[in-house]
Amino acid sequence: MTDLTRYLGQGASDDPAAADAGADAVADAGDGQALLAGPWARFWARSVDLLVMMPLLAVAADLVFPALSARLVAARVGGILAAIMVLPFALIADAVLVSAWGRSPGKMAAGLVVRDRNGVAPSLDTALDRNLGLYARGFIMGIPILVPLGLIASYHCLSVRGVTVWDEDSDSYVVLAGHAERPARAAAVAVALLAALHLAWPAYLAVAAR
Amino acid sequence: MTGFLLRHWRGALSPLCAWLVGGMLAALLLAAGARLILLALTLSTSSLRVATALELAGHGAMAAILVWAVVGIWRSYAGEPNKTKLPGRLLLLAMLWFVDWRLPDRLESAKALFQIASGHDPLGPPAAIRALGDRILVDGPLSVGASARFAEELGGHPEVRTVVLRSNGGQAMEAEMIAKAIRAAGLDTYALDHCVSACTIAMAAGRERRAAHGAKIGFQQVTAVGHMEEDEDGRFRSPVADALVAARVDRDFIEMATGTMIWYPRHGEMVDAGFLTRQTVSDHLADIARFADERRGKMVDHFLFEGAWASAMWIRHTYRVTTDGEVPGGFTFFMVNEKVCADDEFRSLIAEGATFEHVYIDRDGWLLGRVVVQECPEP
Repeated sequence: MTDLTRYLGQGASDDPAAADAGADAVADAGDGQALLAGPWARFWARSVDLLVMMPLLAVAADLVFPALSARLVAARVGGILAAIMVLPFALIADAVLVSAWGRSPGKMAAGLVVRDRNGVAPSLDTALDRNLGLYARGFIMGIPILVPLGLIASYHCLSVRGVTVWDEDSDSYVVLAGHAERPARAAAVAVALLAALHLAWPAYLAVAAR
Repeated sequence: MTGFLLRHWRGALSPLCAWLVGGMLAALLLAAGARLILLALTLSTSSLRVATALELAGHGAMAAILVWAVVGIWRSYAGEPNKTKLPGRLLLLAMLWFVDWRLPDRLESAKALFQIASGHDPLGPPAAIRALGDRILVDGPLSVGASARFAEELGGHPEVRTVVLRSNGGQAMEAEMIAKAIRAAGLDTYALDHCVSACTIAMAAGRERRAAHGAKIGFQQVTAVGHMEEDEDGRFRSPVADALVAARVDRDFIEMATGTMIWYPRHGEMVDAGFLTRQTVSDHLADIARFADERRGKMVDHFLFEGAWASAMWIRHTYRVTTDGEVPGGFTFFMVNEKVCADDEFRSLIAEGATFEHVYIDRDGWLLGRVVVQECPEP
C-alpha cells in the first residue's frame, strides 16, 4: 500500500462537494493519507468483475448473434474466441459502473474504490480511457498467450510504483475504501463464481440450443 | 437510462463514450433486451402470423437501435476539430458499409415476413386437406393457414389414424403445428409420392412413419419462416433438426438432413437411420403395387402394363403384348428373373419371403407366360 497524497493532491478539488464525496469513500490511514490498493486485491477484484460481467454479456451477445454464437460453441477454441470478443464489452461495462459509483462488484468485494485526482469517481470518459489502457496494456487485447505477460508487467508496476500505466495515464487510482483491502474475500468470491459458472454454463448452453 | 439514451442521440457524449458505451455496450444490451422480449412473446404464440409479426418487429427494433447508435456517434463529432471528426466519421461510414452489405437480403426477408404477417403467404394458398376413411390427406404447400385447416379436418374425423403427406414443404411453423397435432393424436404418417423440406417436420411426428414405394423424401434446413439459410449457421437449431431429434433419428442422418441443399436419401437409409419405421413385407408390397398401378395403361419395356395387385406376401404385375407376335423380339422370360433380382429393394423383399409374379397375356387375354420369382441368386 502506498501513500496516495501525491496522486490525489490531498483531496484538492475545484468542486468542494465532489471533494467531500471523495473523502467519504476513500480510506484515510489516520494521518490524512489515502492508501493505494495492492496488486493481489486488484487482481482478485478484476477477476470477480470479469466473472460477473463476461457471462452476462456473453448471454446478451448470444441473444443478438445466435448464429455466431452457435458457430463458436461448435468450434474447438470457441470459448477462447468468445472470451476475446466479450472482454472489451466487459471493460466498457466496468467503466460505466466505476464512473457511476467508483466501484464495481469485484472492487466492492475487495474493499476498493476508484478515484481520480480530485478524490471523486472518475468521469465516464476517464473511466473508459482508463479501461482502454487496461485492455491494451494489461490484457494485451485478450490474446491468450500474451495475457500472462500483461499481468506480470502489471504486478511489477504495482509492486514497485504502486500504480499501473493506465492509472497514471488516466490520472485515476484504485484506493482502499475501508481501513484494509480484502483480497482473500475477493478471491473467495471469484472461486465461488467460477464454480457456479462451471455448473451453470453447460445448463445455459443446453437451454439455448433448444 | 432515458437520459443516457437522449444524450447519446443528441450527440452530447464524447466520441469515445458514444462509440464504446452507446455504439457497443448499450446497443448490445438494448438489442439483447428486445430479442429476449420478442423471444418470450414468440414462444408463447402458436400463430405463424403473430410470430412473423413479432419477428418483423424484432427486425424493426434492431434497425432502430442501429440508427440510434450511428446517429449518436455521428453527432458526437459535431464539436470536434476536423482532424478528429473526419477520420471518426469515415470509420463510422466504413463500419456502416460492413453492417449494411446484406441490406437487400434483409429487405427481401422483411418483405416476405410482412406478406406472411398480413396473411398473404408468398407460397400461395395452403394445402388441400381432406379426410378419407382412416386417412387424412395433406396435399400442397404448408403455407399460412395449413395447420388450422388440418386441425379443423382432424377434429371432425376422430377415426383418422394416418396422415398422408404430399407436399413440397412450406412454413416451418405451420409444419410444426401440424406435427404437434399428429403427435398429440398419436397418428402415423405416410409420404405418398413426395414430402420435401418443411413437410419432413410433419412426417417425423408420426408414430409409425412409412413411405410409398418410390416416394421422394427431401430434407433441408429451413428457418422459422420456411426459408433456406444462406450458410450452415445454426444447423442444429433448425426446426427440421429439432423434429428429427424428437423422432430419435440417427445423428449423422440429421447432419446430412440439415444442409442447405435438398437431400433425397434412399428409403433404406431412412429406415436404417430410424426416420422411416420398418415396414412389414406385406405393407411394402402393397405400396409397390399402389405405386406401380399408377402406370396402368402405359408401355413398359414393349408391353402394355395392365396393373399390379398385392396380397399378403404375393405381388403380381400383369403385362399385355400389343404386337402381332407372341412376345417382343429379344424378350425371354428369364430376363424377368434378372430384372427383379437386380433391384436391391425387391431382392431384400424376396429374401424376406415375398413372391414376385409377372404375368404376360396376349391381346385377347390368353395367358402367354408366367414368371414367379421366389429366390434370387447371390450377388
